[in-house]
Amino acid sequence: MIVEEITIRNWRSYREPHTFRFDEGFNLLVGRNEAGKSTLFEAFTRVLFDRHTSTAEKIRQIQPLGSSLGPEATIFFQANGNRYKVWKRFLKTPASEFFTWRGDRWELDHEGDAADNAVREILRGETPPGASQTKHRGLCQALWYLQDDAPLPEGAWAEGVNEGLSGIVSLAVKSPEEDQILKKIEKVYSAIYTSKNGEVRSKSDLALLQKEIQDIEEELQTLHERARRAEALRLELESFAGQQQMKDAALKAAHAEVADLKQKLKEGAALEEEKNQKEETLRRIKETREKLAGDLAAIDKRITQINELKRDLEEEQRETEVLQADARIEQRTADAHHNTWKTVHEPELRQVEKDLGILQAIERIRRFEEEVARVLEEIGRIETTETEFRKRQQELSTTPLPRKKDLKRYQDQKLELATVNGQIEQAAIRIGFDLQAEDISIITEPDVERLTEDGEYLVLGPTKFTIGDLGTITVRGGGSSLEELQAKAESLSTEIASIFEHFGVADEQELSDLQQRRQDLEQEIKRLKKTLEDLTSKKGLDQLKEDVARTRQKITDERSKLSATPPGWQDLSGDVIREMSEDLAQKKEELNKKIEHEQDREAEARTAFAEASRKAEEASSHLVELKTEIRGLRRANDETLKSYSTYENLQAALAKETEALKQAEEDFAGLLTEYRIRVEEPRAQYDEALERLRGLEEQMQSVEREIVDRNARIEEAVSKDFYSSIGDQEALLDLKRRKLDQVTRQAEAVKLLRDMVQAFKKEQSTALSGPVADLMTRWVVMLTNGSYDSVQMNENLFPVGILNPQYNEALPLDNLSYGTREQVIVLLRLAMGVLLSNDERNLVVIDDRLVNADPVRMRRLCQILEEVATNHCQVVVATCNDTPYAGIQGEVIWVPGDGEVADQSS
Amino acid sequence: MVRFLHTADWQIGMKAAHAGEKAKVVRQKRFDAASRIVELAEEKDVDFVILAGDTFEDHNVGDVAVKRTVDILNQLGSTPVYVLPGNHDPMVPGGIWDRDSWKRIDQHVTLLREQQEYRHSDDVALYACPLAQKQSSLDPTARIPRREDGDNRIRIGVAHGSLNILPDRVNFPITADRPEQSGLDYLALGDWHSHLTSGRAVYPGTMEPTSFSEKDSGNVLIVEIEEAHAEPQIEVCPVNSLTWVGITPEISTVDDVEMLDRTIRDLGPLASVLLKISPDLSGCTDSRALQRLETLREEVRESAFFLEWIDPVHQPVISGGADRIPDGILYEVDEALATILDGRIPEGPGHQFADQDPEVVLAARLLLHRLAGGRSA
Repeated sequence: MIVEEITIRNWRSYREPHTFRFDEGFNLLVGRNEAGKSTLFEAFTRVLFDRHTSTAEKIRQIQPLGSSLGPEATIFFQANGNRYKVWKRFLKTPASEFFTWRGDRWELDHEGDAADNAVREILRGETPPGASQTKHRGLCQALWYLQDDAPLPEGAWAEGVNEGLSGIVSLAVKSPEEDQILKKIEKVYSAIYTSKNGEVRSKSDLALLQKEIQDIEEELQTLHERARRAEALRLELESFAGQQQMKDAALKAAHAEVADLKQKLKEGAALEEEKNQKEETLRRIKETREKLAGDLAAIDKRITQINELKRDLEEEQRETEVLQADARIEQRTADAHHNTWKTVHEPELRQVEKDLGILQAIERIRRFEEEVARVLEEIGRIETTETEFRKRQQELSTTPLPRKKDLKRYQDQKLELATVNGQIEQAAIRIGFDLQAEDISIITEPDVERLTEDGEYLVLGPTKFTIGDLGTITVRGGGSSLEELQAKAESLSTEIASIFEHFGVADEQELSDLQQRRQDLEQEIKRLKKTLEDLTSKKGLDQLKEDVARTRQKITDERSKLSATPPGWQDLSGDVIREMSEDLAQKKEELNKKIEHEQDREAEARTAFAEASRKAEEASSHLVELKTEIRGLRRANDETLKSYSTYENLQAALAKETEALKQAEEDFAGLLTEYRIRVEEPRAQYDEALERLRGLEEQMQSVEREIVDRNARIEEAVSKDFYSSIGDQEALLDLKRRKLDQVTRQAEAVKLLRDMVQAFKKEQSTALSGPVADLMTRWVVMLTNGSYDSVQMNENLFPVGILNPQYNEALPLDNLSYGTREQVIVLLRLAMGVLLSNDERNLVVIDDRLVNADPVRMRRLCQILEEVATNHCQVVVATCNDTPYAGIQGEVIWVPGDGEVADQSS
Repeated sequence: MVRFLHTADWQIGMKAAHAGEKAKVVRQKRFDAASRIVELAEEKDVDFVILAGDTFEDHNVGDVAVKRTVDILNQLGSTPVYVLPGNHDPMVPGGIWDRDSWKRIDQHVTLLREQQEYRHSDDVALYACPLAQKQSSLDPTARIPRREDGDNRIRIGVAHGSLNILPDRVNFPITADRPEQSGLDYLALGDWHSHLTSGRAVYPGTMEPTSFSEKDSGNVLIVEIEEAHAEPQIEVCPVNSLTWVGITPEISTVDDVEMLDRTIRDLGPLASVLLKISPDLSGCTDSRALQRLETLREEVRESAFFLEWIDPVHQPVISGGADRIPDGILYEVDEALATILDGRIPEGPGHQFADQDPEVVLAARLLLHRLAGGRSA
């Protein structure tokens, strides 16, 4: 298929109609970026492959901006030896028309959808409802390499190649009948299998049948389960019925046995009566004999006990006597010890204590006396100090003695006076007379102070100076301030004088001395007070006096104890007394130890005595108990023998009863054997039989309950009529399975047929792919100047590697640079185009895919393009730079920018 | 003289799965046949009715079916009915005879539970051989006591099992000379679904056919025995409403198809006919015959009560005419398929398919021809 002309209008930037005519060889579509080159190719694909009624996003995008007009285009093209024209308008009043050139005019063949289909049919693409995606462009997919196209993933490429090559095949065969049948095969196949991976479609008859069968089988399983349950219940029921039969038979047998035993028991009733009587007799004789034997045995036993007790009694008596003797000995020992310490050691101790007490008393008296003296002395000191203290205080209070502040006040005043005087002196008029004669007298009135012997006078107020006979000078004075100062000075002088007067001093020195005196007095008073406080810190004067009185009383008391003092002792010295006291103390200690020792011994003896007495007492009590017991036993024997008079009588009676018992036992033994056979055994058997019967009845009831239960469950299980349902489902299943077999075989047949067709197609296609590979290899060698040679392709004619002859190693295509890969793909499409253009030219479109080619490569590519365009295909290359293509003979089509109408020129 | 109706193998509740979508109707027809039997019994004024086993198809038959059977039997009113448990409805705990729905049966119906003599009247004694399990290799009639000297009653055995003259039947085998051995005037049997007489041992067959393989079913017997030792007079009375026919025609030509058509038409109104047709097409090379057969199939499917058409696995593939395969890939594919069907390995791309299932290969080839002939897949 080649394109002759395209007119485009209201299409993106093409608002006005634009017509582009194409040469059947090489066409260079030149335009700036965004000029509309790709838009032209877009128009190709939309018009040739999309439904005119499509409103997909990609279709809406072709509308010019801000316009609601319908994009439309007309394409004139040639295919299969015919000329065709197709016109389509999208979106606004969409329409489609398909024309064929017949004779001398265009004839409208189809409109609308039929027109769409007719175009696709010619190009052998599919007719899906979608937009013109690469994979749907059929033959053209192999040849058109547009800007929007990614460098195809392999699957889509394979499909495209297959389409391309199947186009070759169909071109080669030229059989519409075959084509029709092939389409039918494909259609039948698609109805069953998915095109993607050949799996059975979920909505196909086969899949639906399989699902139906599965559902029926599940339903049948449920129904069969019910049948199995019912059967299981029947088996259980059968088992219970069997048990019921067995138990019924057993019950009958048990009833019979019980009846038989009952009869036997009835027959044995009289024998039982006799047995009871004899048993009673035997029991009585036994009782009597036992009583006699018991009495005799008791009496014998007691006699034995009495004899034992007597022996014990004697022994106990001996022991008691021994214990009593021991007690007495211990008592005597204790008394002896007591006497020793009481009568010997204690009096001696008394004496020693007495002597010691006397010595101690003497010592105490002496100590007390010393104490008294000390305290008296202390009292004296206190009193002296107190007297001194009072005297000083008296002096201080009665004698006017200046304080420091008084002195300070005097000094301040004095200072102030000096200051004032100074001021006065400064303020005063100082007059000095420098007289020639030294004996001229100067008389002032009032007197004024002469400051120096030089004759300067200090004039403070109006003063009259009579200078000898010379005359008088009257000075008025210093003014009011001077008067004030004078007044102040006077006042200060008066105060100072009063101070002196107050304290009776004449001058500052005396004042100072008085103040010092005051200070001394105060210090002394302070010191005496401190001394007094120290002396009376522990005890006050009164208390000390009391202590003296008490101590004296103690002395008096001690003295009173010294009534029996040995002569001369009071005169002993302290050392002697101490020595004597030590001796006496030691002696006292020794006596105390002795007394203690004797007392311990006495205590031990007394303890031993108590113990011996206690034991003797116990033994004595035991003796009494033994005697009492013996008496008791004797009384018991007497009591027992009352019934028999004598012991011998008792023995005789026992012998008699023993004989009677023997006889009775013999009689009873004989009866017992018969009783066991005729009564006891049947009774035991009867009880057992009754027990068995009851057990069997319970078991029977249990089995019957189980039977009722199983019957009810069976009734319930079969009440739903699942049996018929099983039949219906089995019939349906059988039908479906047969259908499934049929459908499965048919599906497999379809698959087999299709696979075979594909295999044959592929063989033919593969046979034809050799030329593609050869052409590719020649061009790659040419393009890369031998750096690479053969291109390796897989079975789908997809290039997967390229051979590097230098290293004799195949490189994956991905290892090549992007530009080289692009170039290889372009070459592949050109090769496809050449192959597909055996009978008629086909259009190969390359939309700006060679931008990454360097100038050398570009030149070589141009050679290839020219070769292809000249000899085989219609080639349209879109570019924004026509320079690299300058050497190629062909049509240059300028694409105007901004919707300008282009003026085409070759 | 005694006259009784002998029937058996009612198989009430049978699934009839092989009747396909008509299974329900087939089941229903059996009740109709049972009702006709009741009418016939009254019409013939029989002394009693013997139902010799397999009254019900299975213990799990639904309550509705049991109740309906009880209602039908109860219609006999005062005519005694003797019902024998067979191998499909043996006397087992929890079985069909213990069902509440069966217990509504009237007193004129006697379930022959025990292997004993049942005295119908002073002159007629029945010796019942009820089955208590589904399978056994023991003869259920072995314990029928011999006729004692002086016993001049009409002695009728009632049993269910396989006479040892029947081929490949081993369940509850019954010796064919049991009547002679035990001094029976008549041995009323059940189990074999076709009417069959072997001396005094007689099968009435099922009252309504149950499969395509039964030859003479759909009947009940009216039996008259004059006196002890007398020969039983048997009247066969058809009561069935459906006919089951199986045909395996050899089709080679159109004439064969026409003959088949006639055979089918001779069966009568197809509305009550269940047809099973398995054509043998191994010798057919005539595509017209195949087409005619196809047409006949559709005609019969529409008019027959039920049609099971078994497509032969091995069908001929006839080339030429409208099925002409165009030259090219398809021709080569067809050649390859034919080669494989011949048991050879084709050359070229077809060789990889040489191990395909021949049935699938044939179907593929037929499909190709069908599509080439303009027909649908």
